[in-house]
Amino acid sequence: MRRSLLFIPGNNPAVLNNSDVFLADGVIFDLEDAVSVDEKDAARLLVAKYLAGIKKGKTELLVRINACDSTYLESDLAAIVMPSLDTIVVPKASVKELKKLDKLLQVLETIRGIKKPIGLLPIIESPQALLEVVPISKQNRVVGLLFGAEDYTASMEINRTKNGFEILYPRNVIAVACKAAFIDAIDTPFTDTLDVDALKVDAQLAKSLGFVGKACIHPSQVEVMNEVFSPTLQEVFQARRIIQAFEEAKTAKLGVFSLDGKMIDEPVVKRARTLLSKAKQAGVWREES
Amino acid sequence: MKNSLGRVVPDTFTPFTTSDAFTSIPRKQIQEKSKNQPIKVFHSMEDLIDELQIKDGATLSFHHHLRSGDDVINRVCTSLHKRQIRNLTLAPSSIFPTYTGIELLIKAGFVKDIHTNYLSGGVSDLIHQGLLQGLLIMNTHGGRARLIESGDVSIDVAFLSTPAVDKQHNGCGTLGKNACGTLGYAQSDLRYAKQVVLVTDSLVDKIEQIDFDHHYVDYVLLLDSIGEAEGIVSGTTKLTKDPVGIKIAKDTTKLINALGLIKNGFSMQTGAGGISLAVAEFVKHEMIKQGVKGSFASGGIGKQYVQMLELGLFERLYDVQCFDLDAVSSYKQNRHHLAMSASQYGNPFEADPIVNQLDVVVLGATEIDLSFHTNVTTDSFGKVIGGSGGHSDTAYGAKVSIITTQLIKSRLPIIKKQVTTITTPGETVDVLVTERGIAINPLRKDLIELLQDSTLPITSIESLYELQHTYTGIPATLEQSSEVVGVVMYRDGSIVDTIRKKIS
Amino acid sequence: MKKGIAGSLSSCDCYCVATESNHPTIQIDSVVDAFFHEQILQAITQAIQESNHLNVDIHLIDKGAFDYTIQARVLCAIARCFE
Repeated sequence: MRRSLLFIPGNNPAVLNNSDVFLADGVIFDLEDAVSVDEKDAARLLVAKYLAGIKKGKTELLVRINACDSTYLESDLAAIVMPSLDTIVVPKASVKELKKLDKLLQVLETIRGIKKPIGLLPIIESPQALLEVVPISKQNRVVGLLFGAEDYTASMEINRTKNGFEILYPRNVIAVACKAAFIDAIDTPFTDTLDVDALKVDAQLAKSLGFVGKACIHPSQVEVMNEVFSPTLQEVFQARRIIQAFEEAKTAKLGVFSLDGKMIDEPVVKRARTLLSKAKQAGVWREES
Repeated sequence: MKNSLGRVVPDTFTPFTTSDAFTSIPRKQIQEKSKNQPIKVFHSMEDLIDELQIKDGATLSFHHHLRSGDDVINRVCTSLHKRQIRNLTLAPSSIFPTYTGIELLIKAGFVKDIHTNYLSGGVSDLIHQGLLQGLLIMNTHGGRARLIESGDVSIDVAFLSTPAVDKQHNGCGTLGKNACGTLGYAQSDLRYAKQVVLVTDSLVDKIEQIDFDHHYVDYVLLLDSIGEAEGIVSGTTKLTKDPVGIKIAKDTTKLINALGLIKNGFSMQTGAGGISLAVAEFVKHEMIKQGVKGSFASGGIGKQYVQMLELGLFERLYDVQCFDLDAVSSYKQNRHHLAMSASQYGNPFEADPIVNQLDVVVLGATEIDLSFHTNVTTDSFGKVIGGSGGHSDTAYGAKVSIITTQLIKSRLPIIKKQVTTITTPGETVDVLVTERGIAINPLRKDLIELLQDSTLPITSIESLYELQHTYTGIPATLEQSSEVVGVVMYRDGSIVDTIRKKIS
Repeated sequence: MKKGIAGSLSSCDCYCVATESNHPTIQIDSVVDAFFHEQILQAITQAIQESNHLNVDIHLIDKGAFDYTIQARVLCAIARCFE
């Protein structure tokens, strides 16, 4: 589950110490934008030591490394590639760089005896990346795509607005590409950390377009994200009815059947199953009783 | 001698047994003062002290409603120091770091005992070094009222800072340049001290809302200034912005809600700490959402509760001291904003003190242990950094008492096997809420049952104890000096713990 | 004398000064020294060994940092000292 991915600045021990208390599905330790140029080495060591000492739980552990064309790439990887790391968040991603990363990781994983391959979460934050989004989504190790609207709109020389009209197109493209590649579409963070109501509206819009989660830039956003991106009780209720009706139809040897006057076929049943399994994971629904 | 909590108690005191032991003891009350002399007015501290003829061994009391801004206590202490009056017992309701006059007297070796409910700053350092001739006796707000009314401590002179005095010599807290609102902590001093001095810097024609009735007053001392207005509202803490504190406050609110406490007639008290204020804020939203009208909120009152009163979320406020100017003006204008004395608030011997009517209280902790004993009196070195105030009173009285604290404060784990100093006995503490889980006192089987199906992160205090050490490592245990410099007195007058001298 | 500094005096962090030295010493000033002196010393020692530069004086001013932070700051100060 990646309903909420919380960014944590990489060089701040007080914040790192508490990165596990907000119940985000994943935590992104940031070595890039949140760290000044003269503290890159300190942040890298701090995050590495943190990851090395952590007791691994359910939370996905991610690190946003510095851009692949920067001088930091190899030092970043050398420091953070270890068994407790799940996923690397790749800023300003391109196919070429993802291929390069894949090779570097293969080597490091072999040397360090890491069994579970480290995933990649590229950030789509430029018009170029958006045009490349389909091949990017199909690269090795790519577990999802994260939309970065701030850099994207800057490159487009357009203004950000609260209703997000200007980013509807990239959101659509990214969501479709992710669904087609069976990976997770993660929405851009909402920058006004004080406006919880607007955050909720924005997240619901993203959900309606096919995003499964959203990056958070403040711990207070996590709870809202977990709620918005979990199936609702009504959805769970309806899914259970569909499956129940399906089982009954099967017993009665009916091929096609209807519920509330609507035809139910195989894809609808499949979607209901997926939703129930997600609801179980999210803790919205426990066991069939 | 040891008390029922296993803590050593000096032989001259009564050891603590249980929190409700007082119910089988009759209330002891000395005669309220009656006086026949007309009130005398002075314009100089020195003339007044001459008149009072304070002698060696005298007991003097003060209140702390002007908090860090109070200048009266310092001026009295300075005068006594100059006069070399010795063997004094001081009984201020609290001691703030700005009360440096007391330090002067302690350093000179003139102070025997100090009775107070809260202490921080230089005075605490001196006591930790063992410079008090007698003992520091840390009381609760309700306990101090009991102490005075029982005559266990007999006050020779009460110097009461009074923001305004009228022509009849009534006093109040709502007028004058140093208006501070209600004067709840000073009510016992007013009624039971042998001599009562109202110290003021504002004379007015007539006071409508009388806090100090002139029938109890012996002297009025008119000075240029009794304090610094900015220091008076210094007691307020801002609502926490720390995400960890917010998370604790949210979980606390969910817990209060899950216990079914937020309903019509609901009453609550929260301390002045950042997390407590955040809890009040979240409970406010919950009350609005659910359309609940509570009966009252109590304690020290700040603008948050004033706002809730004005929104109609509570019928009344019981206010022992105002935390800010919003509270002062609300007390002045809103007839549902009521003053309460420390005795009405938490004296165990009152027929029905406000604390007993509370549904829920949210409190803080410096340390808490596996038996839920809570320390808000000393740091882990045993130096006094606070005190009960209303902590033990409300923990005893409220139906549910909740301690909120970070599990770890800059590497220091908050849960101890045994707290350094017991302030509030664990049998009166019901729930601990931390950022990494909630623990319920096993004595509260009813609460555990109510929360059986809750999705809140409920665990045992032992698990939290273990968990914190996975982050911090296990701290070394400190040795304690055998030399006693003070005691923690429970609200009924028994002793819950001793305070030791600094280890040298 | 070569010198490297890392960390800060913020709560939960520590400030570490590494100085090249032929007679290495470790000095600890910590707000939690009374409770964690041994652990802090051990964290520093481990970091020195990991760095492979044994000829350093370490002066650590600690504001309640966890071991991982102490190790990271010591390693960083030493790296900056010898870079």
